[in-house]
Amino acid sequence: MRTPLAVFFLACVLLSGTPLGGEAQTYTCLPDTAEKTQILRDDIVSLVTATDSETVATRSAYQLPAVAASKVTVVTTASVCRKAGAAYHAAVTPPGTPPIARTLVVIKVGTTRYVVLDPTERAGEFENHIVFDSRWNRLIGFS
Amino acid sequence: MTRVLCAEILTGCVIAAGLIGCREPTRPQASMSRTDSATIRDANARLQSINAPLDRQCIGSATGSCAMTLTPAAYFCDGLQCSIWGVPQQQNPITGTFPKPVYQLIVGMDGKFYCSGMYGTVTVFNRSGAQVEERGFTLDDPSDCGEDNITCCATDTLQFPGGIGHVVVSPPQPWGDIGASYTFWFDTTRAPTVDSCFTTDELLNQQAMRDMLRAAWDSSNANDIPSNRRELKVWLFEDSTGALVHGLYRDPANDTPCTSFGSPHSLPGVPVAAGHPHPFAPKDTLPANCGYTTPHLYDITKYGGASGQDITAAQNDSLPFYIIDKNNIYAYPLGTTQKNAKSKVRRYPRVDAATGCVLP
Repeated sequence: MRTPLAVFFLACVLLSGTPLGGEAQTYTCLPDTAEKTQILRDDIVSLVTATDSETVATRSAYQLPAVAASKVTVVTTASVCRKAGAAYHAAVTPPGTPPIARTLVVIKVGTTRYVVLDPTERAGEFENHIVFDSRWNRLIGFS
Repeated sequence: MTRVLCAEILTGCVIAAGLIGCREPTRPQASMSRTDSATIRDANARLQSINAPLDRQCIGSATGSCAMTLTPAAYFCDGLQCSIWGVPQQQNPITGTFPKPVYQLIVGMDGKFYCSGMYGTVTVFNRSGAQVEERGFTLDDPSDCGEDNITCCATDTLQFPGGIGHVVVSPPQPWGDIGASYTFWFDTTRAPTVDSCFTTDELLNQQAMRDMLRAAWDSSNANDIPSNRRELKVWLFEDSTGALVHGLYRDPANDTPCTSFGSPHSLPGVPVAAGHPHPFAPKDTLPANCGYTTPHLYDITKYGGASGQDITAAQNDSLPFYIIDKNNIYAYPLGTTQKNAKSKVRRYPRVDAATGCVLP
């Protein structure tokens, strides 16, 4: 009986596409009502709609476009959250770091950018925001 | 006793004094010009004070204990200088608590008391509740005593320069057929100690705060390569003499360019403010030893200069806090949250090209 059980267990692992403890690598999005979400959305809106030279320079450094506030949206679609989580994890950890579960703030800016934050991910005292393009290539981080 | 007094009708006078013309609560040393709008504000303040709980809490039983919260609703202000008038007669000590520390307290006593008696005292306590001064009243006009051995007015000018959290006024003795009400004059903010480059921030107008921020910046290796820079914690304290002093606290084993862990082993006074340097300019690339695997830029847009963790720490400490980076000083008042930080923060350029002012 030992061999069939082991095979069954291995098959389960392979089919689920997850290693042991696979729940620990789920990526979900915070809702748009969460305070962390609202703070980041408001920040991005102020960045992409600003006209003063200082903020425009910051926007440029962050590789964000100038768009209307209505083009800044909170993403909660599960499939996008999973992609955002995988891309974010790769961007903030050394290569080969095992995935961990993350609950993210994902903000879509226009049609070409995403800003992603895991509020629990820190570098020193700073939060770790990553700007991605629409194909989930990392462009820049800001903290 | 030659002055017109309200002592005989003191209780009623306390409420009505501003309307029927008892001694005006004019600050003893100051003569202040008032604009029309200031006059209107004063009038509103008088009405507010009449309606405020202050006037009722200690009236009715002159022999009972008397403890009042001296709420700003009872203040009668001209700019930053305020008074509370009509603190009523009471045979026992009167305790008044200020919700926010006040400065340069003067207590005036109006009433009818014996020149040969004791005029009472004022005891003041700092914001942590420690007694910092006790001083007796002195007669405003000893020549007023005359044959009746009674006078009306005395003043107690406290010398403690720091923040006063509460005050205890002991009445004149012997009590007998006498009584007195009190007026408090005070400043709601600490007087500036810098002589130039004034800001809209009370503490940033203190030389001790500027010294603290300068010391923090100079200690952060801000001109070294990014990986060698270090945050450190600083606090501003009010010592037992009321003076502001600062302390710098490092944790060499754990401090990095992006965080700091130092804390005082013993407090040199009451903590008044916290702060630390961010040894970078906005949009600088933060070094890898902050914990980054990819380049990150130092951001001041989201919270206005502080990190979210800074804000949470200051909330826990219930202190205003200050961040200094290469370009600016960021002042966060009490009550700052991550949500409201951008609207609460006041940013002061360290070098103001328009005015020529240079801050630490």
